[in-house]
Amino acid sequence: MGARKLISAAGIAAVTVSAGWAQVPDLLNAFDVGGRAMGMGGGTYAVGADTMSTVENPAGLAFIGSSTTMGLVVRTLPGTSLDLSRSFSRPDSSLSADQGHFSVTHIGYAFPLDRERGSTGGAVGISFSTIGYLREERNGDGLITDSGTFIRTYNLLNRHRHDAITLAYGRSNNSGTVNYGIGVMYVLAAVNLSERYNELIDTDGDGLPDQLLNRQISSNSSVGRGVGVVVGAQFNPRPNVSFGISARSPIDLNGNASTSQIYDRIPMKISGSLAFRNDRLRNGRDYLVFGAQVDYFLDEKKGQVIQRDDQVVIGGGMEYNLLVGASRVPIRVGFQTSNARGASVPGRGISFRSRDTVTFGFGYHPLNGNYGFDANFGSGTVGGAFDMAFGLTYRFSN
Amino acid sequence: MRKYWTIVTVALLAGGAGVARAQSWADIYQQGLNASKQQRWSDARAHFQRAAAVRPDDVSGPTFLPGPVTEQRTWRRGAPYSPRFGAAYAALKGATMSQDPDEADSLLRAAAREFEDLIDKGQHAKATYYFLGQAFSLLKDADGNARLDARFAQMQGRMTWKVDLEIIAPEERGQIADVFGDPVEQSGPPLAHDPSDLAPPGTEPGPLVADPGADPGTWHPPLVMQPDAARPNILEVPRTTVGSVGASRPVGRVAPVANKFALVIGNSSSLLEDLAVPFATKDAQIFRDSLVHYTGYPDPNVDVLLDATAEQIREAVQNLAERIPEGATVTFFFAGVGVHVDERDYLAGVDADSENDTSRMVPKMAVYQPFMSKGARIFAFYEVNRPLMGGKTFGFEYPMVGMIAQMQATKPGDRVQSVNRNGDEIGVFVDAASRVFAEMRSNRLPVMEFAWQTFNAMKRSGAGLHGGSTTQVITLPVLSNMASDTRF
Repeated sequence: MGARKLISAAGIAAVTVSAGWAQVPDLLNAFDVGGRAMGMGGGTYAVGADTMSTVENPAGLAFIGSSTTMGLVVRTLPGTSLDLSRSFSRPDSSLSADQGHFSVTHIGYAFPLDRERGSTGGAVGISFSTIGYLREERNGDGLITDSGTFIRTYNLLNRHRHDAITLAYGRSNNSGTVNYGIGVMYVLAAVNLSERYNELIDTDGDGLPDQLLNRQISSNSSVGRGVGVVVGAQFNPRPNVSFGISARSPIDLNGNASTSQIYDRIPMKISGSLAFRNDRLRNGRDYLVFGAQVDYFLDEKKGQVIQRDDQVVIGGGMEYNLLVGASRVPIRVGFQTSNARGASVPGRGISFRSRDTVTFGFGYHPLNGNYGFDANFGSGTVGGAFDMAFGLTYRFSN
Repeated sequence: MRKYWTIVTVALLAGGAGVARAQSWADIYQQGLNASKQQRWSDARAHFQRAAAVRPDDVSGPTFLPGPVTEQRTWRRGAPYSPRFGAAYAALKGATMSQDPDEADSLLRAAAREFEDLIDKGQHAKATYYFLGQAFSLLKDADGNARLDARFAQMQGRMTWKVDLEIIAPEERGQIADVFGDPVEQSGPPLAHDPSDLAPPGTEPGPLVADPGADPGTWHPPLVMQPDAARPNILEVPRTTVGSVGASRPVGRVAPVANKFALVIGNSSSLLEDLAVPFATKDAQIFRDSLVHYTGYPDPNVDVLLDATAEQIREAVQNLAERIPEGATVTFFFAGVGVHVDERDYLAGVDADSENDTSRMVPKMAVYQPFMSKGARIFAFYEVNRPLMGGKTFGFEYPMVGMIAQMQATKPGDRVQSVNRNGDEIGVFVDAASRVFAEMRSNRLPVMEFAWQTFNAMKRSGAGLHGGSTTQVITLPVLSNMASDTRF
């Protein structure tokens, strides 16, 4: 009744969304799982060698070394919130971001297949990683529709979380100049879109709504499942230079009938990274890593709510590894930008805007210890609190 | 022996060539290190040469291994890669162990040439200068030493090239560190603390040292080295602790120390023919040169007497005693006839004509006393025949007062021996001692360490330039009111 219905299909609850002007930073694809590279603008994920390589580039597993390794990352899951006012179809809006709560976004385990052969024997990794996340909430009260009705206590919640369980293998050639790997990814994509509001009319002409016309409560949620493949290679012409490239297949979701119109496919991802290490600082005691990465997301099936063109995410940064006593203290800084172009079609859903993030971080890696700790942070362009991620790596003594 | 070296080298190189491609430079280099630690110098040299054939150039800094670009993975925790240095060092050590003089000479020349090549390439490492100086000294290459001296003067303070110290014996690392006055360190970050990186602690000879806690009035029988039954020609030498050797320059003359004095006497002539030491004057000159060049004795502080009478000896002692300051270090060397009469030791002048007539002899204590009155520390070395008479011989008088170390060139009942060096007859003891002086190159030599090194050098009969193994065995210093590491 004056409110536009976004989705109207059998079996799918109608969702009314006033869109077009609602732009949120895109994290659905560009969500950083929170590893060491996060502090460098994500610039070294495709050339890294840790448990995250299972998801980012399995070729990196070749350099796990001769120790069984575990990785754990806990990070905040940020969200955005829009406060709507005045017109329901073209409201004024105020966007704010919140840090969200902490959640485990990565657990990984990797082990070499032949400790004596090291990288040429290959390594296997298995991990649970969050590869996409979005949380957006809209609230409004006293919105006026084009037909003159009043929308009270409007609330829309759009929540996605894509987790992947990945099994991967990577190995190196004899000289360590080329690594290659492959992985199989099983994705659980939780999608939840709900909307509720009350629509009232003014019957006595005093300008105040006094009669309930319509109560809208709708909710669509499901956990879609899909399988994908990730392959990758790393080229290491010198010990301090590395090129990494990886590709993840598009992943069609199944078992998500109630949300398939909202989101039905995790896009293909192609990543390329270049990193360089300078070993000659402070008479060889310190070293500096520069890294840059480009991620390209394509072939996403456009849903009725999530509408997005192909996306490019570019990030880079540097990490200064300071030797303090018998420990390494890496200090990172980076920048990441994504050019998500929203399909700003009125009434056609949520669109996304570009997202620029300044990142920084630090770590503590005792040279004689089996563990390493990293803390990374990222600012959002929306403002508000920083994204935070804390990671722990542990190498078992063999 | 040279054939052995040749055969081993050719076999390892030829056999190695077939597998060099399959075997990495790292594996071959590790074989060289293992052989060095086991003192298999011919094998070590061959392995290092093979490693250099696969990966030619020595590298001062760490070798980075393939790995993630976000981490440094270094070979052997950042150690330098030094195959050419290792090959030269193995040649030098092989030369000192060789029994074949021609082979030893050849190895020494190869070592000198290869060390000098490294310096020519700009690899100015302290250890390279140190061992090249040793090689030149052993070759008695004055021109080489002069060249090295000049280069050292140019490069001093800028010798930043690092070599793989694991190749070098720990005691030599300590000597190099002390010579250059700084701690010896590997390049690269301290990636891990490995106790095996530390030099093993020095060890004392144990029961062969006079008990410092004993009553000085107690007579101690002279201490005599006994060869190891399992290895009759080589004895284990206690390792030198880092910093135990005094500071010096690695090449050229050792820095003189102003309060060090010496009186060196060589009496070849003697009317007591049975006890005469015909090479005494030559030995005195060699000993004097060693003190001045390698041990930090200023030239004006060293007095030399050749073929001196008793009166001349007394005068020289008095003269020197008047010159020395309080608390000086005095080294006394006597080569000639010494006798033991009525529980006292005597030094015979060239005019002494009877073993029992001490009127033309100088009592040993009469040599010490003027120096003792000035609070001097006295280091006395005797190259004297020691036949037993009535169960006693020269050297059986032990002073109860004063700070004195007395060392005999042979054991009781034996005679001093000589070797032929470039046409000269010189004493086995002085021959060995001069080489030890040249190798240790310090103005702060611990006396017991010097003695052990000299004993070992005598058993090896030197650098193999001449001669074979000797049966002459020194008597370790007997110390009166002095610690075993007291320095002269």
